[in-house]
Amino acid sequence: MARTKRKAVVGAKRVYMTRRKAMERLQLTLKDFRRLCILKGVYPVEPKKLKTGMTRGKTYYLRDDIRFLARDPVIWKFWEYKTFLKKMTKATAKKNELTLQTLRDNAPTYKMDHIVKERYPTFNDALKDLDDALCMCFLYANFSKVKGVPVEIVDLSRRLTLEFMHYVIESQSLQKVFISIKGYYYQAEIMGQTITWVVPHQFVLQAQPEVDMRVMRSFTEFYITLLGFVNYKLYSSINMYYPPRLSLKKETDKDMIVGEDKQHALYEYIGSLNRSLPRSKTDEIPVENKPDEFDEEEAEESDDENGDEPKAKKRKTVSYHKMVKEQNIFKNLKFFLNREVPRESLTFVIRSFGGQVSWDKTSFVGATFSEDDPSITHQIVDREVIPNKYMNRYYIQPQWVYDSVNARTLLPVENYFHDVILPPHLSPFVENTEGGYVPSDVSYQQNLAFGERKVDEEENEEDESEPESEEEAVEHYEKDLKMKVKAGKEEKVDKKRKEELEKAEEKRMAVMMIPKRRKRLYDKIMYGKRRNIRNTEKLKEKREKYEASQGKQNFKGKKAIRKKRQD
Amino acid sequence: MVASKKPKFAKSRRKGWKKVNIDEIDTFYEDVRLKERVGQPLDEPAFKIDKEAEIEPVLNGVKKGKVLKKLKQTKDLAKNIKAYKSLVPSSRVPPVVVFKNPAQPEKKVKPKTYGKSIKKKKEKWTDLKVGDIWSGTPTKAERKTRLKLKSVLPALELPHPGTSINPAIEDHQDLIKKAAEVELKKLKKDEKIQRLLHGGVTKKTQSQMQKEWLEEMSAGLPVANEDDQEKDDDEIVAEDPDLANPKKVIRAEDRKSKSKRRREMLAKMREKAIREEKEKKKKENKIYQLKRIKKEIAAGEEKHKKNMEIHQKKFEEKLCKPARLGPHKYEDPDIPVSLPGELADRLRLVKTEGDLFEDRLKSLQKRNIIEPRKLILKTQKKNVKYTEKRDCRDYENDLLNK
Repeated sequence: MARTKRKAVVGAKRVYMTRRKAMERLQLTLKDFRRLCILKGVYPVEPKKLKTGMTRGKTYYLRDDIRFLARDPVIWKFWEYKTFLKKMTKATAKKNELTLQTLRDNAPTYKMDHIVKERYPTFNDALKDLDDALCMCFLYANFSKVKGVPVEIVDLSRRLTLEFMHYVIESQSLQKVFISIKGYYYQAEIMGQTITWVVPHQFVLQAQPEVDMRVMRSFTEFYITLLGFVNYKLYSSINMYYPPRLSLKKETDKDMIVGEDKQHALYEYIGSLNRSLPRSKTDEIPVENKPDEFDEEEAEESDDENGDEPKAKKRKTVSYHKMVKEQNIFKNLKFFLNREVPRESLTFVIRSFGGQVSWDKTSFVGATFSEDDPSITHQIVDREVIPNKYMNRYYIQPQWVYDSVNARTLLPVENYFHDVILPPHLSPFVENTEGGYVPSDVSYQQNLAFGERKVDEEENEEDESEPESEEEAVEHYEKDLKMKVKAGKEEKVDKKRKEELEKAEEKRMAVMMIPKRRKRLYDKIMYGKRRNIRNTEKLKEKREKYEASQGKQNFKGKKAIRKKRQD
Repeated sequence: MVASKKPKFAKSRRKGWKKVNIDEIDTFYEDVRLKERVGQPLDEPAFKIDKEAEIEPVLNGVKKGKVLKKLKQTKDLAKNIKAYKSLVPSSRVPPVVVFKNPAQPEKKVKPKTYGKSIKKKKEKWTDLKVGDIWSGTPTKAERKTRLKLKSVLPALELPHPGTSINPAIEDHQDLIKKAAEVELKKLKKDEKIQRLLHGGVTKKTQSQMQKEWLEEMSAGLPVANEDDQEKDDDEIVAEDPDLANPKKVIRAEDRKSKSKRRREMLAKMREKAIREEKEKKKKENKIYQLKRIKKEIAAGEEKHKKNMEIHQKKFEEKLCKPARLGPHKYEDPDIPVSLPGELADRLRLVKTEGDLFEDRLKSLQKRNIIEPRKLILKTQKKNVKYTEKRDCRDYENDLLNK
């Protein structure tokens, strides 16, 4: 018989492939196919144009992608698993216990290390995709152990996320925190990449019927492997040992923790956040992992040259010392956490900004100092009535910690005492553009944040003016003597003002020198800015009018409104 | 000439034998025998003991390198097996002579394990044996990932400031407004569906309904009025194309003559020539229209450029929008909002909203990583009709009940 010639695949069919066809080709069930796609990072596509023989309601994949999937050795394991399941069903039907046991012992397993390397050829690629991995792992880490959620995934993600938090603490890379009604949003800067993740509130996570947990699980499986490798690299970058020993007990006791005590193990994990991990060599951190050093003067000069650029960019060039100072705002402060506050989050935040934390040692493991320690500066509470107060410490609500971190200074504690109505918790992810309208609450908090600095500056000025006052005293004395010859009065030169004037002059000159074709663009920009300012002024005026009409309420007027509503 | 011939003898006779000188050998053997007799030592030993070579007993069927297993002694066997115990001397009197093996280093023999062989544990992904996989610089082939940009959307959407546990009043109002807009849209859509479902139906009177019914039932039946029928027949004829235009029959007198055909052809050719002339002139004239053409080209290019820009914009928009990846469309999740009354004064009392698992799933769908799906509830069981078997039926009671 003559060999039949295979029909060539042409046109759109050559590019795309339906999911059904792909499954047939790979000999996988839908479940396995989905999992393989997730692990390998192969996503469905929307065909550019629907050609004949293609239907709209179908899921299409690129033919090349499917070919790529077929090449991975993981697929063999998937096939093996398929036959393994068949054997298992057969054995269970026959009630053949011995076969079942041997089958179970030899169940096919797979590893995903090579896929991680393949999908993320460089460490930077992995860091870019870390947001997803962290969110998913933190979700699983906070999952209670219920039916259908594999225990090992929960345990592994709990361990890995904690390791990651340890890294963030040790490297002091946390930047922003925000508590929303969904959960805690954190943002850290790791090796030049901004990484954001969300951690759910405690005790609220539940499996939803609308969410296919099998899909989520496949994602988490891959992300756990990824996070393992990333953690290793991060740890080695700051000379820390990996894997760290997170359990506070000795390794020999670890096996004792089973069943009911698992909850206890979780507490222990949080407790471990309170210790710093050992490093191999303390001082020899590679240069690329240290924060960049900038000269302040240089930064200023460059600012002058590009005077038209928005101020937001100016703010980003921070001097090294300033940055170090800002990362250590809680240094030399001792915090004691009451039972009712979120321990994990607070410990993580306070420790990443250089503070010391402890809690009641009878309730949870890992306490470093007791409540009656006189050196405690702040006690974080979340209740109105406190029976036994210590005199030498502030009793504040947890929000103070988060707001201070976002403002990068210690905010005045009076507004956060345990029995007052709190100022709003603002999102640090909103960036106000220059000249834009800033809501009153935000401007209030900004003023608070910079208030302390202003005080410092004034003090410094006073110190400088001391010798001058001496001279003045001499003058007065001379006046008293009624001498005829008057001493020449020293002209007071306001250095700041002079500098400002000079700068303004320079800028004016620079503007004059702009060539004509660029001048138009410059004028446009300036016009836009002025318009922005005008609008802001309008809004401010409106606000003032509104406040005047409302009668003079204090700045917390809205709080009063809210309280009224609640009543 | 006579050749001298050797005398021939039969070889069976002694005379016919070959004569060889064996004196030398005889003397040697004589010498040897003499020595044997007399008992004089030999000059050199016939063989030598090789003391330098390793002693390796080679047994039949056993390979050279294999170390022989030490045979088990009764003493050892008696430890576990009862039958061997009787073989062990139980006398308390020590033996007179104790035979000792020449000193040999005692070899430790590993106890043989019976039953299940210990296998090497399979490596699972959960073992998480990690190392530095990004140590070297990746090769060109490695760097070529299949990761393509599917969407420019961020993995984690930053939260709206109004979702704070203790939001500023402006932010909170803004969020509520957003959520309300979404809800209103949904309501509007729902209303429209309801209106289409129920609003389009108008009430009819009994008489109207009867009339309609009559019309419906009598559809297709021959109508009583004859005039109408005739009209209908005409219409049918007119409508049918075959009936209306029967094939034309060309009679002999109507046929075109040869000369007529020729004339027609010539006329056609003339027309064609005129047309071509005109075209030629037009083309030649175009040189004077260069300016206009240039303008046209410029306009076309401008248009093309604009189209490209639109295309680029569309492409960028598409990157931000979820693609259509399956039978279901992507739908945004509900915006989590805490109403003004629900805002708590303290962190401890905060009422949480939204589900992060759903959020994650929606985010993946939005970024075209997985296709949107809908929850398919388990199908209800079919209505099963139960019948009593004839054998079990209680006829008497049934009858009584009736």
